[in-house]
This record gives sequence, structure tokens and C-alpha cells, in this order.
Amino acid sequence: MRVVLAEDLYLLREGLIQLLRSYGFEIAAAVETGPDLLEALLEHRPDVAVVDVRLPPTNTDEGLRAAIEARRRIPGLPVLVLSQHVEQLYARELLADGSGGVGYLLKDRVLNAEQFIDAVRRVATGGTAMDPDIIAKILSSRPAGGPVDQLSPREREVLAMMAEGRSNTAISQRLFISEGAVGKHTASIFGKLGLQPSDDDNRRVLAVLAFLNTGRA
Amino acid sequence: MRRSPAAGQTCGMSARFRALVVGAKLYLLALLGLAGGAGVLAAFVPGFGLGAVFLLPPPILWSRRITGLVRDRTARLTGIVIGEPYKPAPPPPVPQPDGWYRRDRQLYRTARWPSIHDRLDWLLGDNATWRDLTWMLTAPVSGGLIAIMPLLLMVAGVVLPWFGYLWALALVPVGFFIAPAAVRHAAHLYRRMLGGPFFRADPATTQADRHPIREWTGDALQPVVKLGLLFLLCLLGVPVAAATILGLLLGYGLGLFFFVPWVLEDLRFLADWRRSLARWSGQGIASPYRPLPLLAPNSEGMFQVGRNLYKTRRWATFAVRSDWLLKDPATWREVLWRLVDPLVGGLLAGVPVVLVGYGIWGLVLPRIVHMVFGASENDWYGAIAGVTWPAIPVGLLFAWAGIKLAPWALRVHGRWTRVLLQPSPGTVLAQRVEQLTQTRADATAASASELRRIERDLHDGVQSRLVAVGMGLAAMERLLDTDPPAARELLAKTRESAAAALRELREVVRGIHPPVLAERGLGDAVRAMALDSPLSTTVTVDLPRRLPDPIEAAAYFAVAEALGNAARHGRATKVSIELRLDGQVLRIAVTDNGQGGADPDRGSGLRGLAQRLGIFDGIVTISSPPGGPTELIMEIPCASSSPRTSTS
Repeated sequence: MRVVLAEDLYLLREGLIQLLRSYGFEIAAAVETGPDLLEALLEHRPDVAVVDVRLPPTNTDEGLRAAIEARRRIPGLPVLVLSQHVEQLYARELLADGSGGVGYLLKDRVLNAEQFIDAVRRVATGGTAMDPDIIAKILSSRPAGGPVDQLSPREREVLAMMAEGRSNTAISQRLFISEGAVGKHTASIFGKLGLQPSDDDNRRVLAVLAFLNTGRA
Repeated sequence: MRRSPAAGQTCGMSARFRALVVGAKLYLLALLGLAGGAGVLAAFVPGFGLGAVFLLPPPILWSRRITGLVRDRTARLTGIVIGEPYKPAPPPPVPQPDGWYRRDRQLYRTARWPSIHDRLDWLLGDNATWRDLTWMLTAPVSGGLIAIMPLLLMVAGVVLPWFGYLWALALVPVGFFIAPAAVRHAAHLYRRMLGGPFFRADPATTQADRHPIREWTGDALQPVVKLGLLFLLCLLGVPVAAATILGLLLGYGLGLFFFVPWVLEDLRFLADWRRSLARWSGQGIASPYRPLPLLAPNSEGMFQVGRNLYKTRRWATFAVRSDWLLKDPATWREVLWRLVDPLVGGLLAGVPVVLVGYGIWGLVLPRIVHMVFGASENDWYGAIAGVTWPAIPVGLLFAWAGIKLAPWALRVHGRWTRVLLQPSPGTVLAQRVEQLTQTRADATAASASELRRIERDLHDGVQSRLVAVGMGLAAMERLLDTDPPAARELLAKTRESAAAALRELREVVRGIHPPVLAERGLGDAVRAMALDSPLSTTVTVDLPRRLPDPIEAAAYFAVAEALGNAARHGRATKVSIELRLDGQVLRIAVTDNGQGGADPDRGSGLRGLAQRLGIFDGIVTISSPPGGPTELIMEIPCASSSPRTSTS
């Protein structure tokens, strides 16, 4: 799998390169700035991009904006965004096009290499990987009355894990229920959120999006 | 909830009868109010007229029991609930460590006077007091009259036919049928006057308030009503002017000097009042007086004022106060204003009010009454220069002229008030210096405590976590060869410590300067904050450019505080946040649907907010009637390069 990496801190960039290589990824390009990133993404069209939000020259949200711009030009380009802090606002912007292949994780998650690599692979195959912190924020800030309020507690748990990007198998192992039960829950969630039966992957992304938009204008 | 069977629309016969009785009872309440109002007014004579302001609170509190009774009875009779609109009573004064009581910049030996002043401010500064009084004095001819009207019509319909007016019989069914509506309207008028801000649109009836006729009368009559109030204040100025002259005569003529500071300072309330009402014609006027110098004993324990030394604080305070009053030009300009204003201000405000009053009540209404009831033709009322036919057209013309004149008169009145009551440039500078000294002290204190908090957070959290990481690594180094499984276990723990350190560091960073604020600016940072809030929050942003960093940060934390308050104290479920750049002023409005009743004098959170924004010359205003909604408005000037000279 070919990766484009954007990270301005030398140590972290080298660390990520080593980590990704050791798991068999091929580094197509490793860049430092926002403009370079956009160029590299358009040129290499990698299988997945790993991007830091804050990049030179402005040191604001260059990386995020470059990633969104690249996804506008190459729809569905898988991007995993890393940051020192996570915001629901950014997550919504990343997911807004509803086409999946999006990850948004705290940089802390790199500490756990296997889970991190797992997330990179999920994003590369068109899934989502939302940071557990984001999920926690959504759950704690959910205003009453939204569609997500109609879900049972168990269904909400399943939806939260879907948002993190877990497959039905992984969810069944985590919650100690059968895979069939998870399938029933997900079908019920799709029904309650009013998602038409279609391609399952896309529906999962839309469900996560609905989760992010719970009850808000 | 707002309509009882008596006031409902589906009215049977019995309901209409009941409405007639309720109307009569409402009128009795109005008469009770008039009696109370007259009593309060009588009690005001020594209070305002002689300057013995400490006599004012008891009758006001006493009148609140009457209006309380009226609220209670109105709710029981009509089902229209009237909330208590009063501000909460001030807490008792707390002595300073040295045993003296300080109020503003004045020291008192006992709690008596500060407490009286607090109560005066509390009662006189509450608009509800004046609405109550207005209701009491006018209810028999306003709301009460509406309530009793059906009964009056029916009585007239029964009585008049005996005197030959057979057509009057028609009044009986008219009165009978309008009874429920009359009761409803009367009770709503009672609620407007006794229950809350009169002019503010009631959320429950906002739709009804958009009625074009009502809107027009509101727009046309509001300046007249305001001028009427200003006219009353000018009349009140007559006894104040008389008391001032008397005090100065006693002071300088008979040598009873202690009268002088007394009349000069204690009768300032009228001018202060007029300054605050100047917002009707533009901006309110800032207080023009120089700050009272603080008194501190010298090394020998004496108090020095000018070249005089005083042994006791009491006489030194008197000397400082006299000196401060007599040497401040604003004092003498205000005295001049006191003497001239009853005439100038009175004329300016009086002419439109008298035009409207005389036109309607002196000409049009009496004429109509005469035409209907056929009273004497050459009455003074309802006739102009002895001729009756032009009464209605001329009366309407007068009223029209008064209404047209009113906005202009209101503006000129405001300008006149500004001439003598506005602070002079020197005073503005002196006040500015004092304000800057204060806000600089606030700023340094705030930044010091902030640094201290950050230091504590880093010391207790991140630093100790990193120590744990280091110790873990050292132990691992030892175990690596001897006990690899234990080393592996330690590795996991150490990684967990590092993750925890990162988490805590993230919180610290968020407290110093939220990253999203640095990345996206104020608008998106507030949006992100709203997304994380458990309240249902709408954010409207109209900021065409990024603002200076310090202002963005201050505004962000101010909004965070306001949002937190709404959730914590206001029990709100919905909040709307509006950010707007008005020219060079950042205007932030945070409105919630909570229970209201937030008092800036009580909550330390609100005071802290005002203090922190004060560093940027920001202003915090809050409107939070009991029952809500609470609206917090923060205004921060953003032209950081040009210092402001106005303290308003």
C-alpha cells in the first residue's frame, strides 16, 4: 500500500515512516507543508494519506484544508488526519461529502502501533476511523430529541463503535454478543436513522454522519 | 393556561355574567391601587422634596404588598398569571477588616447608612417600582376602566331610557357581550404593568404585537410617553432646586456649612437619573464627577487634607468630601442645571405632552362625551375659544402636532441635558486614568493567577507523569535481561503513563489557548465549543476578518463562561450565540431560555467576566428578568491601535 505522509516535526515524521514501513507500507512521499501535501496527493494518488492538521506555512489548519481540497478533486481519496486535539467541527467537515475513507485520530493513538495501523488499513479500504475522544464528546453533548435519541442504549453503543470504524466482527467481540445480533442492531440503526438499504459501507459512513449531526441544524 | 373559563372564547351566558362580576372586582382592585398610590405619593413628599431620601423605602415596600395582592387576585379571578418582577434585595453590608463600612468611596462607622443607600438603590433603581406606581395611579382610568366598562355600559343602558334616551337600550347587550374580552384585556394590561417590562414584546404574544395599528401607536406614542416622564422629572426638579437654594443660603448665609455638601451631593440623584435617561435620545451620559480621593492616615496617624491635619477620620472625611465637591466644576454645572432645567427642560418636554394631552383629553374626548350625552354646550372643555364645532378637528391637530413634535423634542431635550450634565474633557481623562489603573490591576492579577494555575496543572499532572515514565524506563532497563515478562508488563504501564501525560497536557493547552482558536479564529472556535456543549446551541457568526489575538482569546473564554453559566445556573436547554463585528466593536450576544434572574451584583462569575473584558474596555450588559430569558451582551472595541477616551 502506498502512503503519502505529511508531518512537519522531523522526529515524528521519521517515526511514522519507520512504523508504516515496518508494517509493509510503501512511502510514496513524505512532505512538510500544506501546498506540498496537495501537490503530492494529486501527483501520487496514494492508497491512503496520513496528514497532520497543523502544517507550515501558516501553522493553522493547512493539513486539514489540503486534505479536504484533495478529496474534492479526487473523490473518495482515503485520508487519515492526525492532530494534537480533536474537534467535532473538523470531523463533520471531513465527513461532509459522505463518501467514506476518512480517519480522524489523536496523535496519541500512534503510541499503540497495532491499533494505529489497523485504523490506517480501515481508512485505506474506504472505512472510517473516528477517535474515541470524538465519540465521547458527541455522546456527552447530544441534545435531547434528536434521531439518535430514539436508539436503544445498546444500539447507541454499536453506533459509537461503528463510528470508530469497527467491523461487525470486531463489535461482536467487544460487546460479547454474536455477530448476528450486531447485524440486527445495525439494521435497526439504519432503519431508525432513515437510511435506505444500499451499499453497506456507505450506509455505515452515513450513519456516522447522522451520529455527528445528532439533532443539530 | 392564560385563559380561564371566565376569559375564554367559548362563553356561555353564565360565563358572561361571571365576567361582569370579575370586571367589577378588577375595578375594586384598581381603586385599592389608587389609594395605595396616593399614600406612596404623599410619603414621597418629605422624601424627595426635603431630601430626606431615607424615608422612601418603607412606603415603596408597603405598596409592593398592595400590588402583590392585586397580582394574586388577578391571577385567581382571570387565570392570567402575573410574575413578580422585582430585583432581589441587596445583601446586608459587610464591614471591612478595620471595622468601617465602605460604600463606593465613602466610609461609614455603622451599617445603617450603607444599608439605607443600598436599599434606596435597589428600590429606586428597579423599573418595576415605577411601573407599580404608574399602575396604582392610573389603573382606575386605564386597565380598571376597561374592566368595568361593560358593567358601566349596561347600567347606562338601563338608566338612560328613563330619561328619554331610548337608543341607550342597545348598550345593555353590547356591555353583556364584550364583558369577557374586556376582562381579558384589562388583565393583560395589569400584567404588562405589574408583571414585567412594559415595552418588551411578550414571547407569548409577540405575534399579536406585530399588529400594524398597535405597532403604529407604539411608535407614535412612545416618544410622547417618554417626554411625559421627563416632564414629571422636570417638575420634580422644582422642589430640588428650591432645596438647593435653601441649602446654599443656609450654608453660606448663616454659616451652617454642613448643609452645603449635603445638598450638593445628596440631591444629585435627579441629575443621575436624567443622565441614565439620556439614552432615550442617543447614548446615556457618563457620570461627570471626579473620583473621591481615598483617605489614608499618615505615619503619625493623622489625616491630611490639603494643608490641614485632622485627628479623626470623621472630620477628615467631611473635609475631603467638601473639598472634592466644591472644587469639582461638574458640581457647579450641575447646580446651574438644577436651577435652569425646570424651565428649559420642562418647556421642551412639556409642549408636546400638553399638546397631545389637551388635544385628546381637553378637546376631542369631552366633545364626544358632550355629543353623546348632550351636556352643556359652552363648557370650557370640549370647546375652543367658546366655539364647539372646531373642538374635534383642532384637538386632533394638536395631538398630531404633539406626536410629530415629540421625537424632535426628545432629541433636543437630550442635547440640552448633555450641555450641563456631560463630563468635561478633564474629568473624562481623570476617570479614564482611574479606570485604566483599575483594569491594569485586574489584568496583572488575572495573568498572575492564570500563570499560577498553569504552573500547578503542569506540576501536579504532566511533570509527575513524565517522572513516572522515566522511572518506568529505568526499571525496564534493569529488568530487560533478568525478567523479560515483567519488563513487558512495565512497558505497557509506561506507555499508559505517557498517554495520560499527553491527555493532561492537551487540557492545559486548551486552558491557555484553545488550538481551534489558533487554527480557525473566533467564529469556528465558538462553533466547535457549541458542538461540544450539552445544550442545544445555535451560533450565528458575522466576522469579516480575524480579530487581534488577545481579543479573540478573551471573547472565547467569555463565551465559554456564559455558556457554562447558562447550563449551570440558568437551567437552560437552548442557547443562541451571536457574534458580530459592528464597525470597530465586537458584539457578542448569548441568549438562553433558562429561568433568568441572574444578577450581576451577586454572581462572582459575571463580575469576573466584566473585569476580564474591562481590560479591553469591553462592556457586559445583562438582561435577566425572573423567569427568563437571559440575554448577555458583551461589547469589545477592536480598534486596538486607537485608545478610547470615552468611559461610557
